[in-house]
Amino acid sequence: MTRSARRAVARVFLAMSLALSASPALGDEPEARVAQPANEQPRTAVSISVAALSSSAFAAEVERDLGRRKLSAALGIGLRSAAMGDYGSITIGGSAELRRWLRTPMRGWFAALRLEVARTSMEQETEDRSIGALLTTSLALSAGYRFVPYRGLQLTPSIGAAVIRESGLDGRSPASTRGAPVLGLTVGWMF
Amino acid sequence: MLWRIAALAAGFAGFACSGPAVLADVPYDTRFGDAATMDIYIPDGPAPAAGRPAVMLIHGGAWRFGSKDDYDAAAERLARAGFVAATINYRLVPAGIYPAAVQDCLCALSFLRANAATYDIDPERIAVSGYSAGGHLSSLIGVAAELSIHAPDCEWGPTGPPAAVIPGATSHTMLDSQNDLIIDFMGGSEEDLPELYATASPIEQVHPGAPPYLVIHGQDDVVEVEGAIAMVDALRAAGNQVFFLELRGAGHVLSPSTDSSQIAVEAATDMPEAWAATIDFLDRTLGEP
Repeated sequence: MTRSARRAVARVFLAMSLALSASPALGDEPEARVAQPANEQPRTAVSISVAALSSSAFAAEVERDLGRRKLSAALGIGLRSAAMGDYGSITIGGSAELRRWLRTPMRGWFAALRLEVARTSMEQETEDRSIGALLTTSLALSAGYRFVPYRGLQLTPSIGAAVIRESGLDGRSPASTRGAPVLGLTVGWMF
Repeated sequence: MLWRIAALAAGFAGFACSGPAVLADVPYDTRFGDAATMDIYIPDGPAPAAGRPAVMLIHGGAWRFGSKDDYDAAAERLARAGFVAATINYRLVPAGIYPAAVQDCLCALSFLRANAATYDIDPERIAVSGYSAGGHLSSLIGVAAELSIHAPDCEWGPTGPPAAVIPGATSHTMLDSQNDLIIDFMGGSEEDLPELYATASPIEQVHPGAPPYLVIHGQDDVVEVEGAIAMVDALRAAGNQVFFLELRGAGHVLSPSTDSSQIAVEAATDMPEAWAATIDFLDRTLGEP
């Protein structure tokens, strides 16, 4: 990943974090925002993907308690460069996830619906030529549990099933739809 | 609201609804029943007079498990790209102890060539691809199809190597392994069967004039990537055309999702990078359909 790409990702993530953190939770009553108890539950979480780190990629998300029906919403971005050897690739993706918490918002058990869109462009580096780009759309239903072992530190494993559709943006790679089990593990901070 | 969700789901799934014609359970060697059948996926539309390029797919499963159904999605996808795709069964251990499984794969290839006109295939443009144990079998018939020990005694007779080879997630050698799965497939230890271990090892059979290879391997595969790199180096040293795609973060059955935040339980060759490389390689070696 180039330095400029890293900077761009950091900027987008920072902007998303600020936007979600600064915005009032959907459904909040004005009075509720005026009188906040001192021991209020954390309503924002920022996380990075452990799975991404293990594959030299980067994925991060910011999550906000929606303040109603034990729902929270998360927006994420991801960047990876998976192809090596005679090839090179860059994948840029974004995700949106709606989580329904079982008992307490932002911690414990949850179920989630996640939509992810990513673009992968591929090069054959030995001949310095593009061999196409693909658009991947994934819709996943998952369940997970958020541990909060210390103050705002949170660890969130999840498991689910995804329907994944790929289609060629250029090049000749044909469209395909398939299903796959998916696993997730994020670590981050709540505030 | 519900009907909107249903419509969205139907639209999402609908991309898979129309597809190529599928000829299921076509026997290529009637002596072995279901173990010697294949499913053939034929693209929509008229075929050129010379026939279409084709890809024969060999499933994995440690030579002991799996079936042609494992490659359904890949076969359909290849057919959508204009290739005739044939996903094959072959005899599994114990019936498929070496060299039986290799002979079955070559019999299937010979069947496709002998019946090319029936399936609108150009017999000179058939590639072979496989994953894991199927990767080993595909790699082996790429460099050792003409060894007498591999010659099938089926109705269609022996045949030459495929026009291109795409082995995924395999080691390319049987030597110096204490793996029980390999010992079971070989029917004995290397100490007892040294010559068979050599003929069953693709890297030992590399020679000039082998078909083009695209070797695909996950960086974190339990089947160590060094074996794939050694095969690539051996093919190149012999003057053959070979491309190598190593996939960062990919394992044998776990691959990073495209936004990298999750891990999908699927083969490395299902990653979009692998598909882009595969289609490009097939177009360049077999010619566009």
